Amino acid sequence: MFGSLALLFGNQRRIVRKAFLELNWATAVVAAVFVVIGAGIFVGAYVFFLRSFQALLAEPLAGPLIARYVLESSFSLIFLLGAMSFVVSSVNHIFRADEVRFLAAMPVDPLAVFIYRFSGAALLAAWPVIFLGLPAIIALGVASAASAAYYLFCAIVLLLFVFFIAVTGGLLSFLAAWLTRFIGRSLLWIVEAAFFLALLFGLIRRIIPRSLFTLFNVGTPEAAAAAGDRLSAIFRGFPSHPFAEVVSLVLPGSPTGRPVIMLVLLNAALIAVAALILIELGRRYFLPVWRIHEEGGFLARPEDAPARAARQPFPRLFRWRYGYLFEKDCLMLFRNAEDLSRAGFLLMLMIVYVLAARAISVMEAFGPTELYAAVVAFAFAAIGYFALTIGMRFVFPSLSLEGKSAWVLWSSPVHIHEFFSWKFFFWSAAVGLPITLAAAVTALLFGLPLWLGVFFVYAAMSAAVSLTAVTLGQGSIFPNFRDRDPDTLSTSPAGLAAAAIGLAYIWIVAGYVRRFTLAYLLVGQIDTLSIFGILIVSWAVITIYWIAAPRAMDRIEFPG
Amino acid sequence: MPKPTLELRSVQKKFGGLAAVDDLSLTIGSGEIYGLIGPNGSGKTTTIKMIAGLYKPTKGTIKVAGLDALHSPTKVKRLVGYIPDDPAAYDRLTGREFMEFVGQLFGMDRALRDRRVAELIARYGLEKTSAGYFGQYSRGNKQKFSVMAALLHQPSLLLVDEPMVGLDPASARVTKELLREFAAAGGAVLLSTHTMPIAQELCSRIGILKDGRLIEEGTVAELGTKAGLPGGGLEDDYLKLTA
Repeated sequence: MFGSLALLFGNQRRIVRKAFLELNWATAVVAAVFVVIGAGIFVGAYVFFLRSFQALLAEPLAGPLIARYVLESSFSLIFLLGAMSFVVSSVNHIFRADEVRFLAAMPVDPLAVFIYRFSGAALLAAWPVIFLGLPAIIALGVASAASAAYYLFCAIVLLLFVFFIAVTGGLLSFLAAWLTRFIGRSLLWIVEAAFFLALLFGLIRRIIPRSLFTLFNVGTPEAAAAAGDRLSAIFRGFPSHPFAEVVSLVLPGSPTGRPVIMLVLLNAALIAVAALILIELGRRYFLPVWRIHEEGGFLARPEDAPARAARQPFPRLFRWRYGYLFEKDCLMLFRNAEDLSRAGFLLMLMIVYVLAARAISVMEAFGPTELYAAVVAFAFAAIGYFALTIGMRFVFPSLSLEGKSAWVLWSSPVHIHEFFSWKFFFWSAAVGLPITLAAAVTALLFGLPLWLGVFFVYAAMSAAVSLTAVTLGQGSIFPNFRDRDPDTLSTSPAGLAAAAIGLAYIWIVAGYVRRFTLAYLLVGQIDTLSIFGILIVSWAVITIYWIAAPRAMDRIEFPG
Repeated sequence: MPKPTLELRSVQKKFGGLAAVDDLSLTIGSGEIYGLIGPNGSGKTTTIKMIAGLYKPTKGTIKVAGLDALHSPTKVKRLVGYIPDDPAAYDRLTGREFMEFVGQLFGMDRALRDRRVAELIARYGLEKTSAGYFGQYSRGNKQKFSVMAALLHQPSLLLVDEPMVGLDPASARVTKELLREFAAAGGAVLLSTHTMPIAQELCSRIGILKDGRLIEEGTVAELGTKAGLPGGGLEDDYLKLTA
């Protein structure tokens, strides 16, 4: 097995090295942009945490408590997001990768293949640790003037935490595969989504109790100690708790009664046991599970297995002129369990945001009008960001993913403009519905006054349609019929340009949202400039792509 | 004199500096099955894709039933059925849905479309298979559905790129019958293939492409004479003429 592992990792190293050596300028620019974006997110999170921790730790009694609460909450959220990411990405990365298909036919130890692919999936699932956990820990160390020992312990803890998340995700992936013996793949996706949603809902309810403010309302050291116990009670039993606890214990001024090294070793031992279980599962079941995925609920059916028990002629629902183009895209999306799971993951993140918004509204933390307006604008920006994320993952690659099937459309007598139009209508509905719903729920949770709420929903709907135009337009002007991976397609230079244009749009419209909110709250006026500003910006964006994209599509030479 | 169904005049297609097709002129009349043969990279698929509207010629004119394909692409596409070399289509549509979708794209009346779909599916005996997803099909079954989809709207010109790849003998026979029936009913077929017996068996005329140029054209007998191998097989003629 070790020989196989060395071969696989060695080959991967060669591929990476070759990619670096043969880096062309376009790829280098894209890579550099990603590094800058990643660094920006990291630095932004670090500054946010640093300022928060500095302000909190200035409070001698409540400060350390709140800092600990932030740390525990962040770790619990990181754990859940990481495990969810692992389960979602493991399907493609471990069980359905082209490379695994190739290696499965080779005389390579299956366990080595599993460990090799597991490592990649573990790295992918580490994003919440990198972009949330690491900046939080560094910021806490800087704010507490911690010693080098703190950073050393934290580095070990974070590595263990990443491994723990991946091992948990791996075990859950096998559990999901085992469930396919009893339930269909589509139902499994629903069960997984419901499971994670329930966990998320439970987590948020538990870590944001209504009495949160009173928990930190401590005036004496005794009260602070009692609050510390109540805090421990909230997080005790969370899988992330032992890791967050180690970080808390190695901070300067923390009670040193507990042997930190023993705690770290205990964590490591528990993870080792879990890892051994996972390795045994990998040894026994990797190939059988891979076969299940390879054949799949979709592909394992016999050629003549009917798609529907009783069929009606196509199109079934959208029988108006060109409605069949709309229905074709509907069927392609709703029959794609993988895309649905990705969409579900994004929607779940949006639900996290909505629940967080609810928590903010429960806390009644809003202060002066300026801050209130900024929070409303931020809420719009968050919803716009989700619309853009959905657009980048699903809408941008939608034309390119016609792929080798594109000859069907391009050799038909239907004008290119119709293809663009109906894709635009389809995706506007698909993106617009959840976004509008999220905006309406946010407006209700924030308790926005009626006209402010209506304006908020109007801004979100405009953003959904405009961002659909941006992502679909960019993806149609610069299609790539050769790549099949939506993530690869979305991270092209054209994809990055779409993201930049989308972010600029969100920034402009968020400005109008802030302006409208201020005018409404300060003088009770409906700011028509904001209403028309959004209308004009959206109209301009949609019109530009409505004209430019079909023209560019008309010049496409299908390479299939 | 009736207009030819397909007329190519001095057609050129360049990719960068490379001329994949150069100064190609040919005509195909109603009822004719015209075979296009040639080495790999000789420009057969590029020629077919230009006629199907997937590539735009760099120079020259393409006319289908007298209509210019560059000036009236939509009208021309209505007259053309295209069978690609790679019969990939929508994995998550059933074979029947795929054909019905293609019928919609060509603006067919629903009743006529449904009747034609049933007829064609019956020809290959794919009634049960047509209810399964396209992504589940074997290469051969995908090929059969792409043949049926191209014939569905009863075009005037059929463009066929390697029609027999992956087909079992029975299905290959059905496909040959369909092509012959199509030509007998007045349709024109442009067929690109590397399978010499198919070209010899089906084609009334054959053109040999090499390096993007039409180097010879004629009936099988005429090519044999030009090759100096009268009465020999097309394969020997082809090897001699392309050497």
